Amino acid sequence: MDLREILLGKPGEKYAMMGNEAIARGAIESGVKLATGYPGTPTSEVIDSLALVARDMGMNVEWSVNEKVAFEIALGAAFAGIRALVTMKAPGINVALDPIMSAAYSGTVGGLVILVGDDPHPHTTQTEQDSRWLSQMTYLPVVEPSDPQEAKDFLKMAYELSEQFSLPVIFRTTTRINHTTADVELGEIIEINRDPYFRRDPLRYVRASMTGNRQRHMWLIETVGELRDHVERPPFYSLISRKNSKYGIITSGVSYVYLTELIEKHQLDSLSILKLNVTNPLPRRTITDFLRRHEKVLIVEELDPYLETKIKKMTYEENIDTKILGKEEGFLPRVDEFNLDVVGRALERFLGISILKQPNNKLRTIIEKANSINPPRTPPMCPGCPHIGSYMALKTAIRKLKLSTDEIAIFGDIGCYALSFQPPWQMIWTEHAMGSSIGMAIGLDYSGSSQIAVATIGDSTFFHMGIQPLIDAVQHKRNILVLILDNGTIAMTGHQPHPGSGITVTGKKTVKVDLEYIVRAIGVNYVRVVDPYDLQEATEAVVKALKMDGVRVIILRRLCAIVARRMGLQGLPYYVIPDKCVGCKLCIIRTGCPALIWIEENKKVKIDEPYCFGCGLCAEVCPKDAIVRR
Amino acid sequence: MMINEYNVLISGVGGQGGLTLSRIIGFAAVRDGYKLRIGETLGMSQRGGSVISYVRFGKSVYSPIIPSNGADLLIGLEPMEALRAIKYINEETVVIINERKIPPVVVNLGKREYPDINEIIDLFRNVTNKVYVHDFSTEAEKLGSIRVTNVISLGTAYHLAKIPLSEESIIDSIRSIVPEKYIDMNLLAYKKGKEIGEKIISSSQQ
Repeated sequence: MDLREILLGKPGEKYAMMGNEAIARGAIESGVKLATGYPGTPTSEVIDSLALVARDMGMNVEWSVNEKVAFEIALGAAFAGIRALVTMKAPGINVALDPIMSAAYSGTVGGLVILVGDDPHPHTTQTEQDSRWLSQMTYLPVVEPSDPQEAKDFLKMAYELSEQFSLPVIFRTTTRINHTTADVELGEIIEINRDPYFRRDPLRYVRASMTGNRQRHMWLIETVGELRDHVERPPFYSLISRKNSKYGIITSGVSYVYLTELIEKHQLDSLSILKLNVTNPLPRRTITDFLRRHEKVLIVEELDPYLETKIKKMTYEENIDTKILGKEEGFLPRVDEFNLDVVGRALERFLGISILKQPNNKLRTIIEKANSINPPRTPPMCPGCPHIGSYMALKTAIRKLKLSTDEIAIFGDIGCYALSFQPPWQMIWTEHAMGSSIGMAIGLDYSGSSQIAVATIGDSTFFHMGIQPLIDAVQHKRNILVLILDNGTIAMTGHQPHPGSGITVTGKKTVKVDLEYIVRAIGVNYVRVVDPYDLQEATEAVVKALKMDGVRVIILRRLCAIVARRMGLQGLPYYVIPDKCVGCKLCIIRTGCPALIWIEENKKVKIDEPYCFGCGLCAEVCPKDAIVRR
Repeated sequence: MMINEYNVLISGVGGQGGLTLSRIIGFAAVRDGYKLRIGETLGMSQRGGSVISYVRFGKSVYSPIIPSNGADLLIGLEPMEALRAIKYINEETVVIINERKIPPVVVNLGKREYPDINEIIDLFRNVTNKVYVHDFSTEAEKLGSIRVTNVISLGTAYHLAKIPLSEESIIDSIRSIVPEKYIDMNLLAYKKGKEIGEKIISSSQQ
């Protein structure tokens, strides 16, 4: 049974579904007619899944050029009355925040849900951002599921809230919800047949009207006040109240599953639990009642003390003397994700009991020994990755100018190529936000430093937020070199299409937006397009560009090796002629290709041929011509 | 009989099929009527980094992550990566290790040494006596593709650890998860794995 069939399954059927697949089903059940987003772990699979059923459901699904655009597209559709979903990872909601602020004042007509995936730990994100705080600035409601089943079910609830209160709703998940696979029971698919139509209402929708803005601000405050009363009942929270319990826990999100398991396993029957499913606005009466009925309350939430801060404030306002414990008292950490051990230790301290098995000394010694002898395995760039060639060309060019990669500032950007900060490449100096490399390079140029400023940015990142800083650089005649690493896809998040891919997420062929024309149209006068597998030409182009002034752009164009391999486009593998190999390791040191294996016994390199992509970059650097194609 | 909880930890290198393996076991668990939680970290899965997935099923599983010392079964698709998961085992854990090494870049660069395989095995044997090491990759190559290393090791693990799932469900799960053209090879791989498990048992009884 493939994913499409599961997503279209009948109510009552039960399947193993990933959280993101369950959210996709939730969108189907809610009658969503438009889903947009920008790929980003941990939320990417929602749009990828919906694309599979777009035709069946009469749903429009797209990967948009960035999160701001994705949100605006969803908003426009929601203004016309249909239900829309927009998905993004945590940094994405920062990109979309400008229109989200205005949209909170306008409110919505059709249900509008913003899915944002936070990443405690973090597994694959720049920061451990707790996006719940954005509700304080935008006033928008926040819904937090704790597992895949709730992720599906609560999405329906979010759409109902959104339409009932005319507000976009933030649906906040964390990696351990998005990427957990669990048994999920499917529900009814709601049939919504509306005639989409956008009704003109300038005071509501035109933020140029300052009178309108004050009115809408007031409207927003009043609406959130009504919503606060509305969420004072299940299912907006769930309460497990135990008789005579002195100790209580308030929690939300994935923390709840760790608590449930520990409580069940260790029969902690005296604990009451208040689980908040809507974490903005908070049900004040419910929470203060709960506090009054307990002597001590532990707040269990990942990342920031969001609930904790707000609940402590309530105790001051309502004159409640219940002891509230959480992060500020050191019971739980702000950093990293929770698990049964972390939550278990907090419960032990809170209740003054011992429930976790203590690892014995012997086991502890063994674990320490294991950690000490085991080297890390950081993700390498893949065999045949065109970025390897691009960075080799840049490094070689820098050396040809008798300079080093410690002197020439290489600003990096978001994508697979950020892996180049690791050995053996050790190239990029920064990685901040989508498109940041170019702006920061301009800044270095302005600073007066004599360093050459280089920005390296991927194709999708360039479309997302890299074009604007390049325009800035041209307008102000700055001196920067920009390398656009064009691999034709959004590789890091699972090879989603972007405007230059010539295809949409639903597989439709479309116009290929040409990076080169964009760059030329902006007015960059030195533009070169080279193949990163052609080390000689690429290096020569970079050397020339490094020596020039002004804005220079080199597009290093070659399809992502994983995509190419899937299309059967890999070349014949290479192998090492043992007699010629002198064991200098230059191939490994220069390429960092994981298909090159060092054999300690004979002090020679061997190529893992099924893994080899056949790019030939290692052969290009071998001083003894020991690497040849099969 | 419905068990309360059964915890499988699969560790390996991105691209080895650990995530597919976790899905095969997980789908079978749902077919057998269990609650299921698979915890995995995607994003680096194809990139040759460390990949750990946790598969938990039973009446009372909620957390997607296995607690320390909580694994009933550890399938290590690569020796170093098996070792990385040692904190999850206890004296009862069945440990299946694929012998084939995949050296990480730091080792190829000569900055670190690949740990001695015997030392790795000894560390495990100091905790549990149910440690089984086999070159599943070579077996997979003999069957025609290194990509079935994961399913061979599952066959062996099923036999040695007595995973409390029906074999019918596992087979059904392989059929529904593996791409159609590879189903036969994977079923063959599963059978091969079981044979390896049987041999290991009979040789240990001699």
